[in-house]
Amino acid sequence: MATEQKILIIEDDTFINRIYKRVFSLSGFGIELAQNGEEAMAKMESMNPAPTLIILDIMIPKISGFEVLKRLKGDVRWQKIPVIVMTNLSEKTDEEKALNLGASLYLVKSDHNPREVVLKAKELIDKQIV
Amino acid sequence: MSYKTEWDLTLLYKNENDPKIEKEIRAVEKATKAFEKKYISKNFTSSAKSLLEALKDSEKLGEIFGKSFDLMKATQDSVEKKVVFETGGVVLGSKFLRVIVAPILITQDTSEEIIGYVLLIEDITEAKVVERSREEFFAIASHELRTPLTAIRGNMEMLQDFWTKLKDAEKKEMIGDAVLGSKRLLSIVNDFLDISRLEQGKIPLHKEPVDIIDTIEKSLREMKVLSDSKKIKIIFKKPNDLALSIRADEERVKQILINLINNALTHTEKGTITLSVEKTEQTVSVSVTDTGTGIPPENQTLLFRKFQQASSAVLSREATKGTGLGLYISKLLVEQMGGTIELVKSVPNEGSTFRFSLPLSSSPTTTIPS
Repeated sequence: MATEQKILIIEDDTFINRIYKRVFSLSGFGIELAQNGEEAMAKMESMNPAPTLIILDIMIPKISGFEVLKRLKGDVRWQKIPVIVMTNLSEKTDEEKALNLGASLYLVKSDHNPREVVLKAKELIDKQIV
Repeated sequence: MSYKTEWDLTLLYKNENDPKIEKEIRAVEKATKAFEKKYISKNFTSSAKSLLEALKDSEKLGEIFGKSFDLMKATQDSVEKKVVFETGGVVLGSKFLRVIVAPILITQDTSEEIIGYVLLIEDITEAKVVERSREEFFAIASHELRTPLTAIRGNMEMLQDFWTKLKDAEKKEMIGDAVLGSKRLLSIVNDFLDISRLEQGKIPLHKEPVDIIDTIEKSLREMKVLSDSKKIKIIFKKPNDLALSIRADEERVKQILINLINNALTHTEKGTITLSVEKTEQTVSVSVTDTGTGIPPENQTLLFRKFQQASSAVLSREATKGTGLGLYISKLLVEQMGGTIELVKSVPNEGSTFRFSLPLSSSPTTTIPS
């Protein structure tokens, strides 16, 4: 890797963001963490280069994950960055909403091995580069 | 479970002034009067009243129900099939109404003629609210169960997949997180079990003298880590009368106190939480006051209901800390120990005061239902 690829993890639960921070860094990625919607938008502005991929939780303080997703996809600077929505809301309507707003994937956290999440992220990044 | 519903009834005639049916109209009115006296609520909601008014005017009806519901057509159908027509839920403003239409028929020679309709309107708003909050509960409960499960599963699988790459300190931290996750999961499962048992009266509650001051101090010690981490000061205004003994189950009183303090901490970003104790002739009451976000007036009546949280915004993290069962469990516990619990006061952005009262152990009227 010429430059380090950075993942922005937007997740307020300490136990869960520790898991994703760890598994992505073990897999060779750089990590930035935001614990609420406002912080996430601030990170987007300050990160240079922009993150390669974003892991986004829905139930986060201040600005909801859906709203963050809307803002990301509505901004020409960021709309092409793949977003994996990782949530424990398993309602079908939430999944449809996230995909309609432009999420690349909607994963229910408890249903996926962290390593699997990294593999899915890598696939999305590879597709992006091609 | 039964819901409070309100009814109203009205009669519509095709031609009220037709002298030929005068006798029939009087007969119908006499019959409905008796029903009305027995079942119709006097304080029927104003929005339902406006529906009643509108029902007398088919144009207005169209405006209200639009294309989805043609009441007059339905009424005709009900006549043809000689059945009573009933709608499911009709939305009118903020109300859910059930409308029942029954034709009034008179038989002339061999033919039947409709002279009008009996309209019965039932306000089913409350039942709908409960139904919706139950649906929300399942979404929230599933989320709350999955979160600690993710911490357990994620850490365990990572230990399995990356064992040789992980440092000892990391392994230790991950095992610790998995253990905490399983504790969090256990407490949620216990909440669910508590509710089911309490509702059936299957939790045996001890009825012993309990030193309430001592119990409060024990609860405060348990909450210290959390209050310190949130930098919220908890003030306990100790009463002068230091020997206050209530008749209760100490563990359960602690559970109620911890729930109230925990709620206060959850909804308070800065300021203080104050606990005070008051003695009346037969009871001791404990108040927990915070300087937190407060509860909007429209949500205050829903607080002690099962599955309900003060806010219904499911997707905001602030609104959905926990499963929304704590106050409901506290209410069941307090009541089974012969006491009461209430929201004394709550002002948005200023804070809330909750209070529960339990019988003094010396109180002669102390009875605890078994």
